[in-house]
Amino acid sequence: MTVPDTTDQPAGPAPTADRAATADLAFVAALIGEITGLPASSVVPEADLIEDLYIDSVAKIELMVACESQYGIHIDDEVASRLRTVGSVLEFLAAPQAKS
Amino acid sequence: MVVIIFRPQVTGVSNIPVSGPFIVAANHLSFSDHVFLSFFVPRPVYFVGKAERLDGTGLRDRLRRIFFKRVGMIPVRRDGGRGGVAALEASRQRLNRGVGVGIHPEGTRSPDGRLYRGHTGAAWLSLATGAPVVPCGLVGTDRVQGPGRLLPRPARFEVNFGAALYPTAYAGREKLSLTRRQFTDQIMQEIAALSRQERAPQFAVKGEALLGR
Repeated sequence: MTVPDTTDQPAGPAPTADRAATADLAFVAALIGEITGLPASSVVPEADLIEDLYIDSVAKIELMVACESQYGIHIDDEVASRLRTVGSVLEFLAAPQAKS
Repeated sequence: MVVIIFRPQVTGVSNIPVSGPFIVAANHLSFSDHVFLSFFVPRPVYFVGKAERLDGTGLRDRLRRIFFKRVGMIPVRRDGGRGGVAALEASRQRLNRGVGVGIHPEGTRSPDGRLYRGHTGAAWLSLATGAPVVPCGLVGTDRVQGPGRLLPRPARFEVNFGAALYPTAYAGREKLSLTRRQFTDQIMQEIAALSRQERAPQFAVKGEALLGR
């Protein structure tokens, strides 16, 4: 029986960041699933909000308002218009201004 | 006078409900499409139009502003933000008063005559209010008044109304964006049959109607 070698696991903040990113993706996937009617499994970082997930202007606002409420932040329309993929939304939510 | 000068061919007017709210969803070829539609729809209809039409300070801007305010235009900011949803809310209030609302789902004039992908506002309004969507295909209105042309010229055009589409088929899924996309695609399919336009898979880009000619 081999014992898993865990000595090269990264130490420090990385696992916390990973957990936060996973939590962000889970939150955004569930939210987009609820707004669009698509299965949450289709919400992957590379998915385009409009082309792949049918996020129209009403759905975009629903998404932004829910993120604002969840993270206690304000997202300008101009910023929201630049968020075109699930990944870009996750990056924005992970950025310091969203976490502060 | 419009009938004498332009001899338009108008079909399917009976598809406009005789009472209650309704949404006319039409393709967009000419700056004056809302004028033609207002003329041939037998009941009052308020159009959603770009808010920029109410901007400007020159004499022509002011005359234009007076005209669009008199015809009850519902201004929409087309940046996709909260301003656009405010126009939908204003339209919903008109529908709740039992009148008609006109909308061009493409959002802007076709730059090349093809029918572009529809935005979901008309579907949202129908799903939110229960009002039917009457699809409308315009043919040749760009020959009457094309981009950048101030005065109309005599030319034949068509206004074809199709059977009203009711949102009841989507009951229980009214608030989902996928439903709005499916209903919108259904509306655009009907408009394409009425306007005999080739379909373009993408959204039209505003301003290209002027640049493309």
